[in-house]
Amino acid sequence: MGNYVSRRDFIKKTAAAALILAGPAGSVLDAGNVFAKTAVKKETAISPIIKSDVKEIEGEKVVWLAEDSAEYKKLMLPKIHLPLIAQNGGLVPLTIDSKHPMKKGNYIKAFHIFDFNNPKSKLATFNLTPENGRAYISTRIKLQQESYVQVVTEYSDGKMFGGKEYVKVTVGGC
Amino acid sequence: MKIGTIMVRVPRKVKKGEIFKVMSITRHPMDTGLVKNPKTGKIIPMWIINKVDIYYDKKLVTACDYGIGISANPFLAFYLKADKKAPLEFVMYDTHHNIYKKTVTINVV
Repeated sequence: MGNYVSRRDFIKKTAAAALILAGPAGSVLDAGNVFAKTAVKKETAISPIIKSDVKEIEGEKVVWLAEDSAEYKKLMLPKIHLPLIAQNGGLVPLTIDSKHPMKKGNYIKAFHIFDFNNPKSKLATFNLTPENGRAYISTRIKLQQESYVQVVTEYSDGKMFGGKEYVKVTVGGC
Repeated sequence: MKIGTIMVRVPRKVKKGEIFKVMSITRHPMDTGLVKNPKTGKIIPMWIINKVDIYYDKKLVTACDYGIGISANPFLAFYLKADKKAPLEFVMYDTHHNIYKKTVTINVV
């Protein structure tokens, strides 16, 4: 008779279980409501970061490679130097530097800079020639909020490859 | 300083075949056309430099197309290979149809 449960015992246990179930569930629901309200407020302040990449420029397809792949190193894609946190969004220093040789027939033709969180996504285009001797550009750009700055590198044979870098901005400047 | 003045920094002397850095800064407001004047409440119209051409020995070396995402007083640095003693010319065009020019000579020893 080990499985015998008395009527009094049964009622006590079920009541306790119901309390345990109801108590935390109710509080969790309330907490959820609170979180939902604050989340809505935050979303209106900062729009979400757009993570999509540039797919094509003037009909030419842009290729995105993994940063640790062998082909990425072979192509000598440029390094993008940006500050970790930009305190003033109106003045963010940006440097693009590559060790790719600049000889006739094999050189870097252009850098295209994009930022999808800005009101106008295309920031600038820099066209280079073999007379430059080194694929290097340094400027200052405006950023609306924290986002990914994308640099598309165009080679002399017409192929395009992309790379991006994340920046935090405290005060927007666009 | 007047709007449109270009300041260029190049090394005083360079050896033949050397790759050297050229730095430039231009005085320009670069208004995006999205900002309101806090006193009057009117939108400040767009006024930007949208094209920069750089000639070395009367040959186009670097050309830039700017949008509204370039900061005020635009800064530009790039590298150049020294071939011979020749002028380096900056030509900038803006949306109000002004043209700004600056020429410096490069001394190749």
